[in-house]
Amino acid sequence: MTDAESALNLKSDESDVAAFLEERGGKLIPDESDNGMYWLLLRPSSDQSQEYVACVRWDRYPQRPPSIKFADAIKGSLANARAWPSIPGYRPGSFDICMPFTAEGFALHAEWNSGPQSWRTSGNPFLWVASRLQDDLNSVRYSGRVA
Amino acid sequence: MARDTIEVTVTFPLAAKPFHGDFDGSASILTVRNAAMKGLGADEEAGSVFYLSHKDQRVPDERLLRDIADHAQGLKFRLVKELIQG
Repeated sequence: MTDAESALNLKSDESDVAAFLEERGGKLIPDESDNGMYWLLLRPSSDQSQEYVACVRWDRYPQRPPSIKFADAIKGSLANARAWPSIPGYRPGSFDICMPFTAEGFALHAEWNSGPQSWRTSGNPFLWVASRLQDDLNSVRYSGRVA
Repeated sequence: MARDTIEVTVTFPLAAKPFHGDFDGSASILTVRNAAMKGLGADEEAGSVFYLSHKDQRVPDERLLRDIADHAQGLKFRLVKELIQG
């Protein structure tokens, strides 16, 4: 669960995220039991038959980056490597994304907390995270589902 | 010969508002991107690459605006910040 102010901030930003995902065949599903958690259905533009489920959990919004893990279904297991797309920086072996838009990445790289990679709270950071995931799936760096 | 002015809108999630600008059709995407980045407060930085996306397709910097517009008078782009380290 996140605090009341974060929940209000998320409510304010989530409609843009939902619209962004739906335009690309995806969907935003708020978790019923945790007001800081969302399930994102994502489809790569190169193969719309592939569906990925990202679990995005905000602790404090927009002050801190979210934890992001891929699940094998909505509310499914977060510990299934086959649920992950193959993209550099996405690490199904450790169930994290080692990049400067996730809580896991910033925990591993303290140096990202200052300088150009630091977490930005301007605009709509939730949309930034959703578009980061979608654009990675759409990029040439994506090479299918983890075997 | 009439100039082909194209109204451009560029969105970026980390900016409060979209960037709007009028450009001649002969302008390169790089020219548009640089103007948009300045207007959106986005700076080139190590570990990331910026590009413009149109209909979810990456648009090379060297292309001309009129080639993307295909006679349209307005164009919408997304500014994408790709993180390249991991």
